[in-house]
Amino acid sequence: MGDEQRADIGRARATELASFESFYRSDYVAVVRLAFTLTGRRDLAEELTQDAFLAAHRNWDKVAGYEDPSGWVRRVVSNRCVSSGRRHLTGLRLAARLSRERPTEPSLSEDADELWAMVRSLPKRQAQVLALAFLEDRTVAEIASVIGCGQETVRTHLRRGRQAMADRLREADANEAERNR
Amino acid sequence: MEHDHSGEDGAAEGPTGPDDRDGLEARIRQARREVTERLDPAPPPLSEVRARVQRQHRRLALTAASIVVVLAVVTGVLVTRDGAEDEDEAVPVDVEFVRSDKPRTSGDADAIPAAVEADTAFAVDLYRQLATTEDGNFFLSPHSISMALSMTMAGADGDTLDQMEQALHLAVPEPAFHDAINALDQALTAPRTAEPDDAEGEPLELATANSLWGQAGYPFRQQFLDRIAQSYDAGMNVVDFEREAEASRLAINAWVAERTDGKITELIPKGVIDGLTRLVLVNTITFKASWVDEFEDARPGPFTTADGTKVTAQMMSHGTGAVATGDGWQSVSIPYVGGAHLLVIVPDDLADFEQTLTPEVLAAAADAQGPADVTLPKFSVTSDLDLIPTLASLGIEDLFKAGEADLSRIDGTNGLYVSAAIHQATIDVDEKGTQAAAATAVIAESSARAPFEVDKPFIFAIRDDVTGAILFTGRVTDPTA
Repeated sequence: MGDEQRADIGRARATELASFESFYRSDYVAVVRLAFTLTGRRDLAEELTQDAFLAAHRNWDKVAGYEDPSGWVRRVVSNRCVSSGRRHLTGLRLAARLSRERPTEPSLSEDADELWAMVRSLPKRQAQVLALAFLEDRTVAEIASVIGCGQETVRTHLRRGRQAMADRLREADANEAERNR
Repeated sequence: MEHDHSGEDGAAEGPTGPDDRDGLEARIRQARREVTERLDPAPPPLSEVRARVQRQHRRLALTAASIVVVLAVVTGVLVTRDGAEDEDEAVPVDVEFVRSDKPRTSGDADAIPAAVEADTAFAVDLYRQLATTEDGNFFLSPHSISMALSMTMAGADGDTLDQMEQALHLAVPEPAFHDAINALDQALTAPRTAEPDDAEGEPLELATANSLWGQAGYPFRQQFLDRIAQSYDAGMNVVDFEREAEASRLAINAWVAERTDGKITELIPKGVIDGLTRLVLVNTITFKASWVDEFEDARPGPFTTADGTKVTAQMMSHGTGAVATGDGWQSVSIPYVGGAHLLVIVPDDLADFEQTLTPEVLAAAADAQGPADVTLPKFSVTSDLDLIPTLASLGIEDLFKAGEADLSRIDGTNGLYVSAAIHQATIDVDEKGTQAAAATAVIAESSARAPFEVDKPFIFAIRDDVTGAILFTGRVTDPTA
């Protein structure tokens, strides 16, 4: 191999690394936030996010070629967040590290906390769709592309999920009013 | 520009102008703002993430091992093992060792979570089933059982394979599962470091071993032997069950005793191996670990047994653990040096809890919250389990039936079935730490019986088995007369 060839490979590797690093730095926080809304735990959210980015890094030659690597990493993370098996394993892993201090949970208002808890209590797909819509303010087309399903399915999940949440809020408000009477 | 999230046709693609009759949109905006403003973690260097993931492969593997000690302490009835009656000395037997020339592969490390998930679900099923059939204390290693069954599965096909795949909760197809469990096993047995960093004492030791014992001259398929070598790092000890059944049994038991540091000396009882045995698959596992914080010397203290009797047990105090609580239970995780912990769950109602035990409940119990000052009895439990009824109730049925089992990937015929599946396990928990060992043997016999055709004159008698008295006798020279 000639020097020039070696330099080319070196340049290509550097470009590849720089491109992943910039993707990682620009999307990490947003993906942790998405994972947090779906798990309700910051440590789980960070660990699941890091795992997904590491998987992206391992397969960067493929992932970088995808139309939307940001969407891909969100799909992986949101699937892992709602997979009971994956959450179970990550939870066990975190519990095993007894000596490690947990990162501080963000202090949310009661209303915000309740809203995200309601999202998590929905069926898995609805929860994913609503988290992407509510947190990232994404359009139906964008959510469909991230989740990997049709736009009509997304609309149905949005409608049903939102309806379920509105019903619960109304019920909670009525109970509250009843108590205050 | 913010979007409405109602999902009404077209609404979500356009600007909101939201009709927020129920106040939900306002709440969503507020909840979004709070998460965005108050959760702002910096991405850690990728090298740190990679190092963590490498470490976690080992931790994940240990999670499966830690499950074996769950609930071992709550019933409080001590089981003593029958004294070994068999004083036979191991008879030297001529054992030839052969092994496929295929080396062990590294397996599929990415599939370790899938293997652990399957192991955990299988462990919970085993526990729940045994909880209904065993009295008092019991102890087992689901990992050892699952390894022995996985090796057997490499030779199974058809309905037999389907039933095993379902009972073992395989999330990946059977061939890929061998790579997953191979990677898990290597992660388990990789040398440990003294975690946490400030811990005193030696890191835990965990070892597993597999072996096959096959009839000399029997036509085992090369593909099966290759798989066992590549994924289970085992070769075959060639013995002569037909002519030296007892000597072969002693040789297998001696191998198990050596691999379990003498803790399991009589895995296969007399009479289980006979002239029809063709293959025995064996797994052993040993575990030796020190607590991160040792307990103080045990002193007599009260313990209420499962039937409400107050007994005085040897109670160890001032251990360090982390507690979790849930609906109807409390748990504590007590760490060992080297990256594992003893998870102890104390339910309000043992029987109720056992029937609702799931992997999710286990995960919640391991989700330790705050530090605790732990008092725990010293205990030792030894169990000797016939696995066939338990596995049959989990759906593995054909494997144990002559004529129905399909182990054709072992020998190319349908002539083998599993006549015995045996598991022994033992654990000692004291102030310093824990020692445990377990072994599983799966014994495959030929379902073929020697032909005996009565096609010429014969004498017959009806004879009492107990006294030997002849009750009737006669002769047949022509059955058509």
